[in-house]
Amino acid sequence: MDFSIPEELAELERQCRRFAEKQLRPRQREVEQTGELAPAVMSAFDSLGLSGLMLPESLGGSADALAAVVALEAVAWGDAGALMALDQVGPAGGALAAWQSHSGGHSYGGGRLVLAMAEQTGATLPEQPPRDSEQPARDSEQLTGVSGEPAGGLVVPYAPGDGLPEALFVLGSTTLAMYPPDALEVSSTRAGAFDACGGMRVEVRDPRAAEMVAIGPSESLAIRARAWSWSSAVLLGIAQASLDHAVAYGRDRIVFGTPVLGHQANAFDLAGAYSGVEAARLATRSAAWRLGMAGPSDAAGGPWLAGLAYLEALRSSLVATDLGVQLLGGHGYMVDEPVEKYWREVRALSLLWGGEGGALDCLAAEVLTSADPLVVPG
Amino acid sequence: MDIQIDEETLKAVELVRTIGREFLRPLGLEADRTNRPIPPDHPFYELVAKSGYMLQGLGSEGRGSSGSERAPAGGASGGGSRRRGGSRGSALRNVLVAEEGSYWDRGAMVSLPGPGLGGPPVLRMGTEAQRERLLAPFRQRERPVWAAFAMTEPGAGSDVARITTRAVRDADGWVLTGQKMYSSNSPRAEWVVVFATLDPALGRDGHRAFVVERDTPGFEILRVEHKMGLRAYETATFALDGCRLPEESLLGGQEYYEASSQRGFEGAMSSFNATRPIIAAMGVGIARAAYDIAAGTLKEDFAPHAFHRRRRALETLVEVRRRIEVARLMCMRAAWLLDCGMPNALEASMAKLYAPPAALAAVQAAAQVLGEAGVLRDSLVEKLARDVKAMDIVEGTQQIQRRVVSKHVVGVLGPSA
Repeated sequence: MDFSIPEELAELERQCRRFAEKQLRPRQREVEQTGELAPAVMSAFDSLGLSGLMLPESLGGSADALAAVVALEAVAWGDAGALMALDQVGPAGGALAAWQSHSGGHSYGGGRLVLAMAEQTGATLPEQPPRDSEQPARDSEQLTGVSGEPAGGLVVPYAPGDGLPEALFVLGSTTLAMYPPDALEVSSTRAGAFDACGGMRVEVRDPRAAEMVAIGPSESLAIRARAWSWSSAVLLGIAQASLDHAVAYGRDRIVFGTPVLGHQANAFDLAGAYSGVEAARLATRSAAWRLGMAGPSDAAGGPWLAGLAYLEALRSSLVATDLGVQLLGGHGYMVDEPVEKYWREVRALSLLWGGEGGALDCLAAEVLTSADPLVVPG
Repeated sequence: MDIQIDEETLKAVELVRTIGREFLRPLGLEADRTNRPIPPDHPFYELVAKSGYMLQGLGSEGRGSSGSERAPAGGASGGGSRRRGGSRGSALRNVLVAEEGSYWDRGAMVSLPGPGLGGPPVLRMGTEAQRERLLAPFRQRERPVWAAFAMTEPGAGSDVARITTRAVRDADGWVLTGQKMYSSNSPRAEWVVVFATLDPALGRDGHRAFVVERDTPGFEILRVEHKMGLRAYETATFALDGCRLPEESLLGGQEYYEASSQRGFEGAMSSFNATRPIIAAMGVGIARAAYDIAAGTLKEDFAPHAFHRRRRALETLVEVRRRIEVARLMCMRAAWLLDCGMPNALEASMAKLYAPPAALAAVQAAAQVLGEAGVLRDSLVEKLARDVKAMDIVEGTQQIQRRVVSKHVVGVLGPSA
C-alpha cells in the first residue's frame, strides 16, 4: 500500500505548477478578454509534454492516467480556460485510443479532438448484441449506417484558431462513432466561462460520413472514465485555486477585530470545503492509478471508481468555489477578484461531457453489480 | 502509488467476516433487543481469546516481537521520522478490520476482548516494561481480557484541556481523585488508561497519563449508561476517590514528560491520530451494511411499475457508494501514514470529518428505500441509524474535526473557535 505519488510525478507536478504560476496565473484575465495565448505559453506547454500524457502509446504518448490527473490539476490551478485551449486532446484521449485500437492505424495529426456522449447529443447509435463485457471487440470491426445523428449541435470549449476538429467522437454504450472533419460544421459561440479558450458549436453536416466500431460495454465505460478523470482533475485545479485565494484573503481581512477565517463559522465551512477537495483528489488519483492497471486483477474497477471520483470532484468543487466567492463577500462578486471566474468555470465544466446526469445514468446502471474491493468474491 | 489491499489484510478481514456473520450480528441484535450488554462470561469471548484476536491492532510492537522505540514527541504528527513505503504497524489492517466488524455489528465489535482504546496510548507513550506488563495478558490467550481508556469528564468533553481529575504525587507514588465518564468496557477492564492533571490551572502542560488497575481501592464504577444504540458493550462513569497508584503507573515514566511540558496532552492527541481513522472506518462498515440492505431490496422486491422510484433509488445508491468508497480511501490513507511513521493528524481528522456524516446519510438512504419498514424496531436499518450516530461524536465530534482541519489549513483560529 502506498498513497504517495512517485517522485517523477511529484517533479512533473512541480513543473506544471511553476508553469501555471509564471505563465498562466498572471495573465488569466488578459487572456480571458483577448482569447489569445502568447506563443511562448504554447511552447512552454508543449515542452511539458502534457498532450503526450493523453495520447495512446501507439501514437507516441504515454496514456498515463495518474500522471495526467496530477499534471492537469496543477495547470488548471493557473488557468483552466488556457488549459482547454492548449490541450487539443482533452477528455477525448480514451476515445482516440479505442478508435486507434479498433480501426487499425488511424493516425493523429495533432488537431482538436471533440468527444460527445451519445445521450448528450441525441444521437442514436446502433446497439451491439450483448456479449461478455471483458471480451474485446472483434478486430477492426467497421459498422455502417447511422440510425441517428447528433441533434442540435454540441457546444464545446474550442479555440477558434483551431479550425475544423480533426475528429468528433460520439460514444454510445456499445458503439464508438467517429465523424471526420469534412462531415462537420463549426460556428463560433460563447460559453459562460473559459473565454481564454472560447466556445464552438459543432454540428454534423453529413451523418453518413460516420465511421463506427463496436465496443464492449466495459470499454465504453473505460472511455468515459478517461473523460471523467480529465474533468475531475480540471475541476480540482479550479477548486484549489479558489480555496487558496479565499484562505489568503481570509487570513488578512479583518472583520469585527478578527481575521475573516478566525471566525468559527467561516473556519468550519472552510474545513468542510478543504476536506471535500482533498477527498476528491484522493479518489481521483486512486481511480487514475486503477485505470492505469491492466488485466483482470483490477477487481474494484478503475472506471467505476473514476465515475464516483468525478461526482466527488463535481460536488466538492461546486462547494469550494461557492465558498471562495462567499468568503470575499462583495469583492467575490466582482471581476477584480479571480474567485468569480472560478465560480463560473466550475459550473460550466459540470455540464460538459455528460455532466452529473450522464455520470449518474452510467453509474446507476452499474451500481447493483459493481464489486467492492474489500469483499472478495467467492 | 499502490492502493491494492494486501492478501494478509484481506485474510484478516475474511476472518472477521466469518465471526461477524456467526456471532457479532446475532449477539448485537440480541443485546439491542434486551437492552443488556453481552456478558463478559459469554462463551463467544473464550473463543475470541483463544483465537489470538486480542492481539489484533497491536502491531509488531504490541505483539512483543520488536523492541522498537516509542513514538517521538507529538506522536505520529509531532515530527517523527518520515519513513515511506515500509509499514511498521498495523493501522491499515485495524481500520479495515474495524470496518468489517462494524458491518456486522459495531457494538458487538467494540465489546470484543482486547486492549481497545487503551492500547494506542500504552504503545505510543509506555515504557518497554509497561508495554510488556500491560499487554502480556492479551498475548497469553488464556481468557478474555479487556482494557479501557478514559479522558472525558462531566465538565470536559471536546475540550480535553479542561479535565480536572487531579494527580498528586507524594513519597509513595500518586493519588488520583476525580470522575471519568463515557469510558467503554471499563466495568470489565483489567486496567484503564486515565488522563489526569497535576493542576487544572496548567492546562495542557499539566496532563499526565496513568494506568489504573482493576481492584485499585477508590476505583468505583458509578453508573453504566443507557445508550440510544450500541448496547452490546458497557459505557460507564467511574470515580477515582483518592486512588493510590504506584510510581510505575505513570505512563511513560517521569522521563517521558521531561522532553516537553505538553507530552501528556500530545500523547492523548497522538492516540487520536490512531483511533480517529478507526472510528471513521466503523462508520464505513455501518454504511456498507445499510447499503447492502437497500441494494438487496432493489434487487428483489421492487415492483416493476415503480420504475421512476427505483431509478431514483439507484441514483441514491450511487451517491452512497461514492461516499463509502471515498471514506474508505481516506481512512486507509490516514492509517497508511501512521504505519509509515509520518504525520497524519490532518488526514485522520479529515477521515473522521468525512466518514460519519456519509454513514449517517447511507443509513437514511437505506431507510428511504425500505419505506415505513425502515422505522420498525425489528428493522436492522432502524438499529443502524441509532448505532451510526455515535460515530459522529466519539473520538472528537465533527465540530472538533473541523476545528483541527481549519487550524491546519488556516492557522488563525482564535481561542473561542
